[in-house]
Amino acid sequence: MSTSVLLIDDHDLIRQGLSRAFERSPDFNVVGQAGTLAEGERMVHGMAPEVVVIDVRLPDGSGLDATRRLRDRNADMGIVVLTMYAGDEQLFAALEAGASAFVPKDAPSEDVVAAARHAAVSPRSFTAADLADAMRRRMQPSGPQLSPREKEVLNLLAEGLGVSAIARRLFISESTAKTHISKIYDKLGAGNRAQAIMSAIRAGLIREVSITA
Amino acid sequence: MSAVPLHMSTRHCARLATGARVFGVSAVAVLALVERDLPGVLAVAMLAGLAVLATLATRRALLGGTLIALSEAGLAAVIVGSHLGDLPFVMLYLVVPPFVAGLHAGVVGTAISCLLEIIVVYLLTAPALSLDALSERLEVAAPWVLTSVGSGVLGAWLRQLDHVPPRDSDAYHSARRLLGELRTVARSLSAGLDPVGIAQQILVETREAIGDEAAVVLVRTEGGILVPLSQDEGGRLSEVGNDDPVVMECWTTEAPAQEIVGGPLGRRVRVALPLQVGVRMIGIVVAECGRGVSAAQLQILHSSLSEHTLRLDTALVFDEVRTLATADERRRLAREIHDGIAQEVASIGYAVDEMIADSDSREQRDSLRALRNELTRLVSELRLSIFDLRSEVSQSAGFGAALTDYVRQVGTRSGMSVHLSLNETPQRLRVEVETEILRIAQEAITNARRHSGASNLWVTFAADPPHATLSIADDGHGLGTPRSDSYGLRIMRERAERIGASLEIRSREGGGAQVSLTLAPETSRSPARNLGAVAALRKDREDVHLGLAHR
Repeated sequence: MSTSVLLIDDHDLIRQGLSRAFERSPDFNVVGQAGTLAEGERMVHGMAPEVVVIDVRLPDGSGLDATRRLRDRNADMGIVVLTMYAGDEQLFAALEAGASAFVPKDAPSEDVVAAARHAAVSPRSFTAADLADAMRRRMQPSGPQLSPREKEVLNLLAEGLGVSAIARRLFISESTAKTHISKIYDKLGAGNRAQAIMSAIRAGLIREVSITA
Repeated sequence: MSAVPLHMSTRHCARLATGARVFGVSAVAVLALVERDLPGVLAVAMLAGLAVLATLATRRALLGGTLIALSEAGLAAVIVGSHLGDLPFVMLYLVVPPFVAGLHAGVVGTAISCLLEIIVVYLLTAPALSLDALSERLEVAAPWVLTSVGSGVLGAWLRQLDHVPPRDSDAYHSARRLLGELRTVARSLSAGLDPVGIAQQILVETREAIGDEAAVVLVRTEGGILVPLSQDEGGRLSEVGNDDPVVMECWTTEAPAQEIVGGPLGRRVRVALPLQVGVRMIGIVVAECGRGVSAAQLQILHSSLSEHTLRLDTALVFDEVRTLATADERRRLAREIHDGIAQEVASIGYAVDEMIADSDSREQRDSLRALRNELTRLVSELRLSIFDLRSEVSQSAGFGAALTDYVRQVGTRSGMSVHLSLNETPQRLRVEVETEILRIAQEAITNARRHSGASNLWVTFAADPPHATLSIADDGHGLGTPRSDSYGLRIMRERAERIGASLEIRSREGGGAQVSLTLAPETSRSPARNLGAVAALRKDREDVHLGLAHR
């Protein structure tokens, strides 16, 4: 029995190329093609295909948002996200939206078919050619690295606590607190509390803090 | 008359006309009462009736203002002319219509109104009089005619005031003039709209006025943070931050501030001077002097800087607008490539995939595979171009983060091992400057990726605002002749020029090429700092190795 596939992409030639690629493999059957999200989602609900191949950018919205909606309604549908964008952002967004596979558009059509095959079998796992590199890139530190203790101290600094208050809060001596603070200043290249907080925000070490002029 | 406001409305005009009528009627009435004469009282009643009629007609807008004024002149002349023989004092009222006509129709209205009165009065009185009596009457009438003309001119002048363009359009006029200048200046690029150059003029002027030893211009950026724009000394003042007491005092009080600081050369006086456009603070000049500066001196300097400040503000706004417009255009271009050529090439790739699948001959398959690889490479390049066009320096994340993101994405796809070294102080450069530096880095990295055949790429960035250096070096096969004047290099030079930085491209020792960008906005007093000085910053260097690519 062949797997039913629905293609959602606003470029006719892309859909045509992919549809021919699926037709070449006997285990697939393209049941429909759509050029917009609205049309595509309507067809998904009407035809209940086993695999949906969807582009990230469509004229009436984001394919990633649609992926999230499709995944919410159906946990067992294979979803292959296609993209022309470079950058890990899209890959991780597809992963988080619940896609089963992620394929860039420079890859040969066989890759898309292979991804669809994977998606049909295990829709709730995720595969992408660049996944390992992307994970490695994501895990690499980009800015100054603070120890967990230093992060705690930094957060208390951002709350506006003084040295002795920080020491009391963390059950450490004042001199230890001072050492932590001066290390934080060193790592952040800051000369004082305000500079430290500013560069910590910039490095993404603390989320938000109200600064009064 | 000086109390009359410059914007005189039509209502104001009507009120003045009514006032003149009331005055005319009352004056004639008083004189009539003095004479205790019945025909006099009748004449006054007729004039009063005319005045009420004219006022009502004006208020209800029954006729045009000019027409009412002229009819009023004619009718008043008839009333006055028919009573002139017995009651010369009614002539007084003839002053009123020319004034009203002046208010409504200017000098021309006044002239017609006066002429009308003279003709009507003459026609009504002259035939009844002898020549002697006529000349006697003329003597009596002459001052009144003159007074009428005078009052008419007064009315016309008031009307003129009414037509002075309101303040709003004044603002538009000056805005238009400024924009016109802006266009002229913008064409010659950065000549007169270079914020750094203007800041340097401010520093020169400050030095001439108070004889400082070091100074820095800080400007407000989005988010209310002050960033150094230019300084005229070897960096001693570069650590003046937003939280410096004298800066904070100056910023909050919007007035010059001074404090005594201890420095490497002993006690110094640090002076902060607000840079204001109208009531808006756009920045601060901080200067360090050997001695105190009198308040009067500061006041003089403050006012002499006002023109530079306006120019600086304009230049900063222009820079911001240009950056925004460029960013918009880049996003549009990215969309266009994404939706157009990139999809088309990708679909040709799919078509070649099909040809490979359908092909029987092995030779044909091999050549088609080579074509497919080329197409894949082409689509990858287009994807990276879209990525280039879409990467921006964010206001919150900082330049280092933007550069790191870019280098990671692009560098690791290239098969080169990328060594990124960042050295930033908490202070930032202006986003407009950071954006240009990022574009230069993108171009240099792209060049190395495409042409150098290098296995290592070193990306080094150090910033100590307003100074910064960027170096991109590779160990590839060096500068080829065709590369040295390529389009990409020209764009890099233009970008460097726009932010007042110098760009150097040379062969790297041990093979490969190196692109170095040095941003050192100094005034003429001190020579540009060398690369080493900026690189030797307080902070330890942090090397972030991105590891070997896995392709």
